[in-house]
Amino acid sequence: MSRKNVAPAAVVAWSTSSVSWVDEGHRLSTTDSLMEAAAMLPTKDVLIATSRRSTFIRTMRVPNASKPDIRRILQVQIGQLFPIPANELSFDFHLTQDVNSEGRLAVIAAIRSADLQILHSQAKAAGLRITGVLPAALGSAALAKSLHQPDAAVVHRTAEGLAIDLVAGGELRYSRVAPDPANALGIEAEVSRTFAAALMSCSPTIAAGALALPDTDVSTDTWGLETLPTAHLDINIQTPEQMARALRQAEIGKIRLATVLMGLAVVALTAQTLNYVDAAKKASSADARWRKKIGDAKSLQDAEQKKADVISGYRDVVDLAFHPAQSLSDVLAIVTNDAPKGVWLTGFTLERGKALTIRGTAANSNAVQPFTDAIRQEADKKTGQLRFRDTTIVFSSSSEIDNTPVTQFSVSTFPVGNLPLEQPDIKKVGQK
Amino acid sequence: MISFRTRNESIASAVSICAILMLIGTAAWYWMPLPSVQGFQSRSYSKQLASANNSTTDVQNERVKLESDILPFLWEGLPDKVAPAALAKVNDLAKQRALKVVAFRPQKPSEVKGLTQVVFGVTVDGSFPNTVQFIKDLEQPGLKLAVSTVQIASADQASDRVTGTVNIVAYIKGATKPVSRGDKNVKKS
Repeated sequence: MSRKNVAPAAVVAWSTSSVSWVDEGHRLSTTDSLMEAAAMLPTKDVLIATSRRSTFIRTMRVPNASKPDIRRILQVQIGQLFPIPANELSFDFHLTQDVNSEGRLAVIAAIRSADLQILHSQAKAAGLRITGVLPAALGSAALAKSLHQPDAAVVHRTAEGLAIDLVAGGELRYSRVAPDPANALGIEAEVSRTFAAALMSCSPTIAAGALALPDTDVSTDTWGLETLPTAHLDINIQTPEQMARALRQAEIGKIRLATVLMGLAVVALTAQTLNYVDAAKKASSADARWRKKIGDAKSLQDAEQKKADVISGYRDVVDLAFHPAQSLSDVLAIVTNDAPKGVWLTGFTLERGKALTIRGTAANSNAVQPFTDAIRQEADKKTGQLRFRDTTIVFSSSSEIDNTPVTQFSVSTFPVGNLPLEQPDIKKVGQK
Repeated sequence: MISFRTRNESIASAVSICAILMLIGTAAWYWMPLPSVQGFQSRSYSKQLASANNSTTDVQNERVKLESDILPFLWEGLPDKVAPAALAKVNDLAKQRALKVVAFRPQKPSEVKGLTQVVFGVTVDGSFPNTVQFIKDLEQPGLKLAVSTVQIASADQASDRVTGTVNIVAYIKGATKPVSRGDKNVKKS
């Protein structure tokens, strides 16, 4: 849509009847057609400046919106702005920095689509490449700006006649071509007439292109055409077909960019996903290794604990069997020593976990009681704990042996700490 | 770049927005830490492993200590091999105490908490003090025999001779399977 900021080799002022350009010595050359001019131009790339007679210029306030949005608005209104039906016009516009409450000031340039097509066909025939199409009058605003005259009337003598461009605030406001007057007074009168037609107050006059105007405020050899390449104007008039093609190209560019972006995103996402999956696999593998190590260690611990439990069971059995509180031999010895004079012990029955049964014979029944008392009073010398409990006389009966009266008795007593051995399991060894 | 004026632009813009969001998401994902068994989890695993290994070592040490405590009291081998050894010891002790071994009867082995228990019934004849000494001798830990039952009865009224019946118990490490004929018969039936 907008012209690229690359200075073209040649700026050519074009109209359907003539073609003009300015050489390095600020001399204006004019031919009848682009075909003739092509041979004399230094390059095939040309920036076309449409002549004032073939271009409509209009300034108006537009909403302060983006250029595409403003273009849509203007496409509807363009028929009312110029005296030619909208469908026969090609236009573009330049958005100025002048913004107020009514909107932004836009300089709208339009040209007959038919003329534009003629231009392109002539350029094609001449072997020229058009880099942009814009009104020649815009060069006057650039020229005034370069001469530090933001408000001025820039006057050129062109092949079409006297070109008068009014610039205000550094922007082109009005442009007209007047019949070429014979003298300076006539030129000044045309300038004044132009200010009046534009309803603008008078400002200094710039005589451009070595125009001979003695009383002018500013005079320069430079032509407005020469300033166009450096003016950086965002305007390029195109035919509707070119616009549609440009729009299509822009869309294709956007789609291409979107596709590339999406491709990049998919590649990046895929790479990151693969990276993540790889890391997750490694982490999972490492996690499994750790768990297996811990599981193995715990299994070993359990196995060792089971072995220890078995050994612990052995210890219980061994403790009961080999470390009784009182050994059976000690019990027998103690009870035997407790037997007083006149008491004969005839039998003992002692089993682990059960009471001791003592059988004996006494010379008289009175001797049994001291024996049982002695048993009851037996105590451990170290701890002082009684050695026997539940000492009772089971029976005592009188009888005679060889005509001598005796008392036969039985005493039962329980040795303290006489615990039973660990009982065997129900099944015998070898049975299933 | 992003506009929705035409259908194609809308599609392109939507795709671009999606792509940009995907790129932003991917970039954010890229800077997030990847899954790894490091840091806290690894330290936790190390602690668990060290704890399990330490526990295993403790249990092993405890087991070794227990074994060293109880092994002096346990026999090894088959019950059939233990009985003759026990008889030899009983005979030696009885001889030292001038006792006569009247009978030595091994009983059927049984299992006690994983140990094989064999009971021997010993009947001796001799004086009462010697019999008591004999019992005391049997209770010495080095013999690996525990006295479970003692019955002493006067042999006659005319002397101090007594008849002692002593049940002694031997524990064999492990529930070893006896190979006596009776066991074989039991197994066959």
